[in-house]
Amino acid sequence: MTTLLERARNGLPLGIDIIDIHGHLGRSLFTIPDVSPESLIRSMDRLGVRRIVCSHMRAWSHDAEHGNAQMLKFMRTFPGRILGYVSVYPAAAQTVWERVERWLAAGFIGLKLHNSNGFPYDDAAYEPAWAMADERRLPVLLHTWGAEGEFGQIRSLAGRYGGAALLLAHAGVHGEAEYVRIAEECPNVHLELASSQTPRGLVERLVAAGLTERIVWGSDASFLNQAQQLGKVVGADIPEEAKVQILSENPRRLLDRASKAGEKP
Amino acid sequence: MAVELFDVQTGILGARPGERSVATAEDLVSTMARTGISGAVVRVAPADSEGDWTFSNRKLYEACAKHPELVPCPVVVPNSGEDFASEEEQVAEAISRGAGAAWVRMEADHWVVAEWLSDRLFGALTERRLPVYVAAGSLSPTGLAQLAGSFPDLPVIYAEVGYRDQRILLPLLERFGNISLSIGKNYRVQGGIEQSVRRLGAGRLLFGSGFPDAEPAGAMMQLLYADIAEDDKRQIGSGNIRRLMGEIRR
Repeated sequence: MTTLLERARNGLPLGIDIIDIHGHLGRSLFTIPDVSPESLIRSMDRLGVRRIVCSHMRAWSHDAEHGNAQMLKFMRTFPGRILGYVSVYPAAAQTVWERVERWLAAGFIGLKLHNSNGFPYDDAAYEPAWAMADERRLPVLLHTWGAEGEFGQIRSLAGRYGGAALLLAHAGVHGEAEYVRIAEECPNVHLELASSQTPRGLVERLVAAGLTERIVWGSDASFLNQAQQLGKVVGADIPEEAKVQILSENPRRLLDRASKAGEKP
Repeated sequence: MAVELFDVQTGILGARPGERSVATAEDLVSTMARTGISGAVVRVAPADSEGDWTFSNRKLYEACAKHPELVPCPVVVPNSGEDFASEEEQVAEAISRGAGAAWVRMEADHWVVAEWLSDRLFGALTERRLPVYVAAGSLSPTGLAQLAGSFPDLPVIYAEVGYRDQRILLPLLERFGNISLSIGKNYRVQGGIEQSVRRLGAGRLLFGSGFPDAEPAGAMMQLLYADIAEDDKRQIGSGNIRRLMGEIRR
């Protein structure tokens, strides 16, 4: 049997049901040569990525609604391949509630919140979104950068909304020890690996800390190169089973628990 | 047959403040073996705690002497302060010790690219066709354009570029045919290799991993899964750097 690294060394699809938990569609301020969903699907096919969960590049702006509408089109063009996170701008709690409710009903499967908009994750206007995520057991992908204040907010939210799965994007890019600590303390916190830096040894250290079941892989594509981001797990010096858990089993479990919570009795 | 990979962007024996250990030549070689990388151009890096580049060059030569798959990339500096060997002697020594490139670190070694300061060094490198490794953080694109334009026969390896720089890189490489681009850390452009090959041809990109900072399988997969021809992958993987090293006037 060939290993994932051996398959990668030969440029072959990896042969497992990979789920990319962190993607984006739409333009950015810098050049991304092809931002079309078709291009992203071709990249996924070359690698063997079955599904990607995306938010739109406008996720953290006042234009989040435009982004959600664009995302819905892409989700309908590629059903089952491109899944969507709802993004909301925290203008007011009532608006957040209405928008999240509407987009979830349309088929989005979770939330993506980004603090580059200047609002902390525990801002009062986000409360209805957190309540829905809690009730429906949704994944909530949070942009994080190891900043001091972020961990306090996340700790508090993870405790208050135990049904939600909090996915900390860019885990370990800064403040690695704090990411490990919060994952140990909060059973509904998960560590997502996307970062341009691809630090050598990070995946090995997180696995050695006993967190294999709490790590999920995301590429940040098309913001970053999807194949390159996959390399940090495929090339890591960890057991083959751990790679399969991170790339496939852990994210599938998170998506399954959300869809089961959404089933009508 | 698998695409051969020869890594142009690696470092050993250097550390950043706060790091308790350094990556050794043995660490690099074992990582290369695990990921199927056949050779590497190697520097003493990270160089944040560097104090004497002549000492580091000696360390580098000794480490590479034990591992034939490692090709040294020593530091060279202008001898404008009359504190080192002449520029021609530095280049000659590097070549005699098997160097595949030389590293210029303007900010770290306290010099600038200017006709009145650095032309003798770049002239000596050009004379021997020894590729020069330039990190993006040490020279702006406009500075690099000035250098590449002044020395059109000097092979330049531009490395450690950002994933947000594609808008700058494409015209820079189009204008200056003597610049090659390493795809190692931190060139993470989705579709970037494909676009660069379409605009520039496959002869201008070089496989680099970013070891020890980055996991080498990242750059490896970025190349091997790119939507380009297998022959293009072979050029980028190893053909281009082997050609550049083959043109060194030894």
